[in-house]
Amino acid sequence: MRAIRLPFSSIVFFLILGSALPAAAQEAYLCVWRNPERTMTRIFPDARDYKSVTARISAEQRAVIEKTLGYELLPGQQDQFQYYHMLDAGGSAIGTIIPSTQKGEFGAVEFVFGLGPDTTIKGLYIQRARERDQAFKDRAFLEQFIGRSAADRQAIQQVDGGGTTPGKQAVIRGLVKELTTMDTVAAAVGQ
Amino acid sequence: MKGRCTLKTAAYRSNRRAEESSICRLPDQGTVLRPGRKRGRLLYAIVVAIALMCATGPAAECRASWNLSLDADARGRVASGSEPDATLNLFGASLRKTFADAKGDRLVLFALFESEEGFDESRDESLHEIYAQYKGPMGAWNITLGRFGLPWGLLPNFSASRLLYDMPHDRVLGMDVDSGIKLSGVQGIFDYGLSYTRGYGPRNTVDAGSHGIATGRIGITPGETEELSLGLSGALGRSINAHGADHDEPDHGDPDHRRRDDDRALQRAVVGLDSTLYLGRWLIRSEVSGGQVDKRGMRAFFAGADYALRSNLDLNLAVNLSRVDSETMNEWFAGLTCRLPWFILRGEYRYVGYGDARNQITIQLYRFFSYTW
Repeated sequence: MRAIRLPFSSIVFFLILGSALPAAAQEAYLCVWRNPERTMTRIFPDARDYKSVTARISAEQRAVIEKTLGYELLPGQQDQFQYYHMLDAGGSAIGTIIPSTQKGEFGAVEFVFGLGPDTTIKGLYIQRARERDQAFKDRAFLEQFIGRSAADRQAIQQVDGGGTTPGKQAVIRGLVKELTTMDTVAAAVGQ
Repeated sequence: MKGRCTLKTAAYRSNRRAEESSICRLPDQGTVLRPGRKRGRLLYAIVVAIALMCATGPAAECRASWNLSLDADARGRVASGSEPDATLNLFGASLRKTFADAKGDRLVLFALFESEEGFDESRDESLHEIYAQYKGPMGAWNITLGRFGLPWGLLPNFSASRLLYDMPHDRVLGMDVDSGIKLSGVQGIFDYGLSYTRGYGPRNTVDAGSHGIATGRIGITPGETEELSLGLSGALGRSINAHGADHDEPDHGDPDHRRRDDDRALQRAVVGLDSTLYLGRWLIRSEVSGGQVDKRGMRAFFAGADYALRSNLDLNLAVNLSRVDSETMNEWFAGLTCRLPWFILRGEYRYVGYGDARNQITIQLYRFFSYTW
């Protein structure tokens, strides 16, 4: 077998990728969201534009979030939180869009939800999932979350008995996680 | 077959392509200064100038966010009729900067550098993509200037550049990225893209012939859960002969002179249909193309299917077929993808229905890293 050809620079980079930044690596549960404007318009039809926001999650904030949730945040979601301010024609915020990725039975369940100015859920749409049971995509299930907020964490966790399928459990778990994170991060920046 | 003929697109994310339209990102030239290289530098200068104007001009209040992504993969291969081999196949680094004004995200600057070494020991390094994208309100329209992924078939939303199987875009278009201008956007359930590019591909291969190709795609994604996407694509113009562009054999003893017939532009008039379907645990992609390339009838077909066996384990199947006149090329793939805590491990069996190496087994260790601030 011929020897592996590893130029020095390649070795350096591969070692860096493999060892130096495990805590900051954003790989396993990053959100991949194609054509996001389509879903944004469904939830906020009056929006004229949006502004992306990447908020850092400090170690203290992460501890608060994980204590509230009762479990650790997923890899890729531990030190940054991304969301989007929805703006009207005058540039004023009319809501917030939050994408979420949560571990399901057969991979990631990706969904998007919107918060109104009163921080209650305005709409929720499933983006991408490969679950065996597709009941979590039913509007009857998803609309049970409309009007809920971060203060309703316990009520959200009780929807559908806590989720009778892995897909529903992933949606509930992801929703509570994002609301808790948003609540913690937004409080820190005074938003 | 992977190697210098491999075409690449931006890193995925989980996904690769969709750089222009995705918001959450995942987590994929020669030394002689040819005239095309000079034009390329002019193009890059324009991109930088636009960025500087935005940063220092009337929109000086712009805020900006950065994203840095790095990825690399190592591969080992066993092929019939050849010795086992291994290589650090690819290193990619991309940098994205998003400027926002008072009314929203407005300008995106993106650059992707790639260094790839094939099993044939050839090394290819290139600034694979670099562009500036001006975003219209709510993504209704976006203008992209620079070198970018073409609006064709599955390319806007999917790339096989970091995977172990290939797609037929080199035979259909000659390339998957090119330099020029693009108009794209989303309107309700429809999305569209229309570009006019120089036809030189990612390495600015230049010859004395004229280039220039128009490429367009219109897609539809009905339903709220977006399980099905369909697209119709077309391309008309002249672009590089992809395999000829990879052939660096010197002519007449001059190492800087390339054989004219290998670099010649090919006239292309092609159309294509593509589909993406989420069906339970299946994810199925397909693309069929047909038309005239170099005045010869061309047909191409690609299909790929991923089946979730477990939350971190997928079965992957793919087929890549093309026929130009009576010349047929076919490749068949079957493999597994395992998502480990820090790496993705892939294994693939490939049957190549032409050439010498009919049976191949490849193992890949892939690592992706992304950081936004």
